[in-house]
Amino acid sequence: MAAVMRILGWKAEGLRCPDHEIGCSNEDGAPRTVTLVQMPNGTGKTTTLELLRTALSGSASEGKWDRARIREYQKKSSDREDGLFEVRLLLNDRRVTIRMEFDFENERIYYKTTHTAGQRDGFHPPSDFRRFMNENFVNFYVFDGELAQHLLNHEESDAEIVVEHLFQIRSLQELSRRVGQYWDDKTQHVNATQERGLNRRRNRLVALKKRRRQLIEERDALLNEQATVEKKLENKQGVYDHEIMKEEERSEELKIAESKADRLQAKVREEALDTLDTMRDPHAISSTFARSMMDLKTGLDRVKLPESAAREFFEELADESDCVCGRPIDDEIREIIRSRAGQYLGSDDVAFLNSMKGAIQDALGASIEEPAKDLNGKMSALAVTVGEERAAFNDVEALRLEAEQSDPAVARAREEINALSERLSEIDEDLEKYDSKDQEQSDDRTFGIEVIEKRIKNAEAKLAEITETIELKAKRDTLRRILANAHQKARDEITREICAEANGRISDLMPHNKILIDRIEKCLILQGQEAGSMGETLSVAWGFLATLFHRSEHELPFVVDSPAGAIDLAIRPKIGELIPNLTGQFIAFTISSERERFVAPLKQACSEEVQFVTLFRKGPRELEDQARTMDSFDETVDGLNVSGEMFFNDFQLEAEEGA
Amino acid sequence: MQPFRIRKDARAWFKELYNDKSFKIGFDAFYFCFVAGVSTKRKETVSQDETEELVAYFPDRYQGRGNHLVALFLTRELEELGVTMADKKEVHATIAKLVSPDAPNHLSDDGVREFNKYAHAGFEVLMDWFNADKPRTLETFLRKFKSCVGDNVGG
Repeated sequence: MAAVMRILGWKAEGLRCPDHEIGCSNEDGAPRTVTLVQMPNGTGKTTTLELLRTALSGSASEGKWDRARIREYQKKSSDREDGLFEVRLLLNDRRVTIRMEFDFENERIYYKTTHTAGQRDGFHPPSDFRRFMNENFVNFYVFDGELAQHLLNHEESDAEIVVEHLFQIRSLQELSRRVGQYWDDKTQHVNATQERGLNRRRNRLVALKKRRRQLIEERDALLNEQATVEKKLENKQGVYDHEIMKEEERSEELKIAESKADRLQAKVREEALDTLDTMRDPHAISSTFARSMMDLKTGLDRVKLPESAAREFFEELADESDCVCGRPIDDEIREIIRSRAGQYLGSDDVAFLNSMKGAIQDALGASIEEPAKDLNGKMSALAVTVGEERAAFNDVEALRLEAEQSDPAVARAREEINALSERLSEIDEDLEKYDSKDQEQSDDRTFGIEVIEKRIKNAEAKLAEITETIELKAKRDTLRRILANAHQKARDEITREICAEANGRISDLMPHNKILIDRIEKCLILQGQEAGSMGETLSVAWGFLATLFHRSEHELPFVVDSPAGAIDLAIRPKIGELIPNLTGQFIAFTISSERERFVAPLKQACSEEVQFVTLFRKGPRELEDQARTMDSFDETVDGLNVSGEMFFNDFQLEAEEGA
Repeated sequence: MQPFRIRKDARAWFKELYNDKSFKIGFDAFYFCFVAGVSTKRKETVSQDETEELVAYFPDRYQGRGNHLVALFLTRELEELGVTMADKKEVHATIAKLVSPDAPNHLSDDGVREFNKYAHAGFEVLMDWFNADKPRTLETFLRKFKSCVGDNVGG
């Protein structure tokens, strides 16, 4: 947002300059475009300019000035121990007053800042104007002949900084700083932010994935072998069955035995499943469990849990005015009922406990021992059936053994079956390790594929974290490089354009001097020479500052001491014509000798009325008398302040020189 | 609402019984672990990482037996906490803490956590009882299990 600063006026009391108040606004309160304040030498021109700078920059706040310097501002031959300088401003249409109160007794200066929020102690310009209201910057819009010299002296000025502030190039550097800050904030909890950490995490992930691939390959190989062995086993079983059934009598006998074993196996299965279902009743597994459960039920009955009334009953009762017994319920009783209601279970709890007690009663009410007895019966029956099944399989096995002994082909088939079965068992056992949940081992000693999968997931998350960080760092670096380039380019381009335009103005001002700005660094670098005459230097400064303030979107007042003082009479009209186009507000401190060939061209070039003010120290009687005859004048203890062009132009040079 | 949780290694231990379809749901393994834990009065906390989530209700064939299991759990907890029926307030407070009638398994979150602890410890108990040998057949497992419970709490 563009900043528009205007000075509405200032007031000085009890200070080295004569007490005075200068208004820089018209009757409507709007700031005037041009105000010329004529102050003869010795009136305190430099002091007033310095006070304006100090007020606008806050440079004397917080004890920054030493005691001797403060005392220099005390009015001579006065008993006053205090002084005041106040400047009234319009900052983007907001009125702001900065007041410096001098305490000469204690040699202190106190700032007070007043704006919409009221008065605050200290120097507190609005935040959007702070960059223009500091010591470095103020010197560029409240300046004297010295600044012109400074602009060409690399030890004194910082022209680049002013260009950066006025054209907001600094915001690119600020943006770069914030980009860096964002990365710092984002990564402050990340353990590893460097390539080394990235490589370490990447290698771990690669190793884990390799391990997973290896384990899956091993497991798949085993599964393939398992399928092959099972197939072979099935074939061998076929061969075996074929061989063993070759003899008719034995075949018949074996079929009967196998059939019996199969039947018993099915019976075992059926009984086991039935037993399993019975065992799903815990009170069937052990009568101890049954007794505990029944004890719980009877115990709850005994202590009347759940109560016949639920908590809600009492909570509702506490809201009534009368008890169920008809007696009134006052606040004390109400509170007791409410607190004791907590001792009762809620209606849901009551329902559940009743349901649980009912379930115990249904299961064990008839007999606590019965379920366990029933299960024991099933267990015994199962044991018998398992015994019969085992015997039946033994019979089958005996018949097979007999066949194997009498027929080598059967024996061979059996041996092969045994070998294959053994291999199948080994494979089964080997396969189990891939289902292991053991998380304690190192990656190389871990076989559980699920465990490795989980580690991969974690490693991927960690890698993603550092990858994101590193990507972010690369983005940060790119962005900062772009911003640095943009800053450099913007500065180069803007200063180049300012140089070109300023040189145009300087050539207009001094067509025969051939003095030009080569480039802008910390100070202005002139082409082929280090410095010119005082007049040339001032003209260069005018050319530069005129360009600077003309091009910037920000509008600052231009306060100048002796704008035409050291400038040749031939150049003065051009400076005068230049001034109204420089900025929205121009305030100049002049002496009478500067009027010639300066004031008239300035007045002519200015589209609005120029304000003329003459301020002089009391003393010359004739001048005082003359001033008092004017329509508009202010008189203070030691000064006279006269408004008007006539007095301004007639102000006697001899008197000024005499003063 | 807290679900029941079973140790991952427990599920794997019962692999053969799942393979031959004796056990059909995860809660079968969980149930036997729970009973083993209650029988030996042992509880164990296991990290969530080492367990897998089951259901938050009594499933399938256990549906009608939920009240019995909660009753067995409450008797064990009251015993563990040394709460007797003589102290009605304590009984009331313990039950109110462990039970949540709104929950499908009738247990509060605290209740489910304690319930799971018996099952987690119960798996260790099973490993002891079976010398770490996995059960190969249902009939052998049931008979051995019944016998071991009997050894601990009586038949």
